[in-house]
Amino acid sequence: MDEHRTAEKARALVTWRSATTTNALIAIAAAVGPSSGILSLAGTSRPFVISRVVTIALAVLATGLLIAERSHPRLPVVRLLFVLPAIPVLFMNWFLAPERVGQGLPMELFVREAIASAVYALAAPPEVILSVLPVAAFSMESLLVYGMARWSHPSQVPRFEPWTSLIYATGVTSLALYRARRQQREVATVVKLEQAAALRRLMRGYLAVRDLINTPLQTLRISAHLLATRCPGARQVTDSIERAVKRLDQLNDLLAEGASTVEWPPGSESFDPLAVLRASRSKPES
Amino acid sequence: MPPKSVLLLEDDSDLRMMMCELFDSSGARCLGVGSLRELKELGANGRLSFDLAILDVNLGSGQPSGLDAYRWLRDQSFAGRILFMTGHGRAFAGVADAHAVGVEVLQKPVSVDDLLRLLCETPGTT
Repeated sequence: MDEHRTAEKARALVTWRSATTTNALIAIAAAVGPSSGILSLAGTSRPFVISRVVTIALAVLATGLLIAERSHPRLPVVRLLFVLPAIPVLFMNWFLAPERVGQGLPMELFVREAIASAVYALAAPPEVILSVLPVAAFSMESLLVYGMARWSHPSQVPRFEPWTSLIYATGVTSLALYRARRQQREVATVVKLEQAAALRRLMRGYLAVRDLINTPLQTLRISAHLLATRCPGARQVTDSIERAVKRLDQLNDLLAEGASTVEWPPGSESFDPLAVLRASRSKPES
Repeated sequence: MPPKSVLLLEDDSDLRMMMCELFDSSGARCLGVGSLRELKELGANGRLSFDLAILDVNLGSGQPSGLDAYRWLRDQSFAGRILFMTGHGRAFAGVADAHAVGVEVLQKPVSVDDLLRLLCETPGTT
């Protein structure tokens, strides 16, 4: 496996984890929010209910798709599934603010956007843009709600808005950058481990090839000597054999340089070199 | 002076035959066995008296190795000289450990001259 493919596979695995976390949290928040009151999602208007149902359905569907992808996640798919559920959440938040006013409840400006932003920042995948985009969208939503509320319901707008929201957005973006950097380091570590494992498989392959050619080489060398001793007339033939053996020796020496680094577990000195070769070609080392 | 006696543990029958032919043609007496089981049969029959034992390390998947044979020979108070013959030098920890206590390791493929030199360098004990 080349380095680019290994890195893509590692990125997909780490992004898969981020997407699964985000979707699970969004599904739970949208499902239990109205009854728990923690997120103040109590709303009954048709647009809000539809957006909430879409949010739950999309997050659950995305989680199901992610579970199906868990063995071999595809990077474009997991990236899309990380970002996609943010869209109905934006709509859900947007429809909830005026409804709360209609119900005589406080608007609780920016709370839901702040929580959603924090989730996307904490679960940031290695590609920070995937996290920054939803954070920016939620921050924009906060500013839009602020822009409308400052005229219609000025008493409900907290004193230092929108500056607190902007400072919060900056902080959350920094958190996303920090988390993304951590994830990038994890990807780099996974790539290095995978490369080390691939190198070990290659070296074991070298050792197996050496094991396969050493015994026939030894047999040929002694056979040529015995033939030369017993049939001096066949000197031309035996000289050809010895030259061929010398050429194969060069290959053997070349393989020996790599194979010398292989650590062989005690108790496994008797092995089937063909089985080792097959394993080195087909499956990753556990 | 009696001919030197060589015990050869090698799972490849062609190589076993060729090496014994080589030693026999040089005036030694060579006996080849293909596994630790055959070696133990020799011991059971009281025929474990050799000047030199050459042990291949890899004796095939699932089989006891040349290292097991080495330990068994030591347990039997084998008096002759013991050498490992392997294509992997001291990659195996057990071979490296044995080398550290003075057991020689021949790197396959061994030259014919080196094989014959072994006979000259080995003192006769049998």
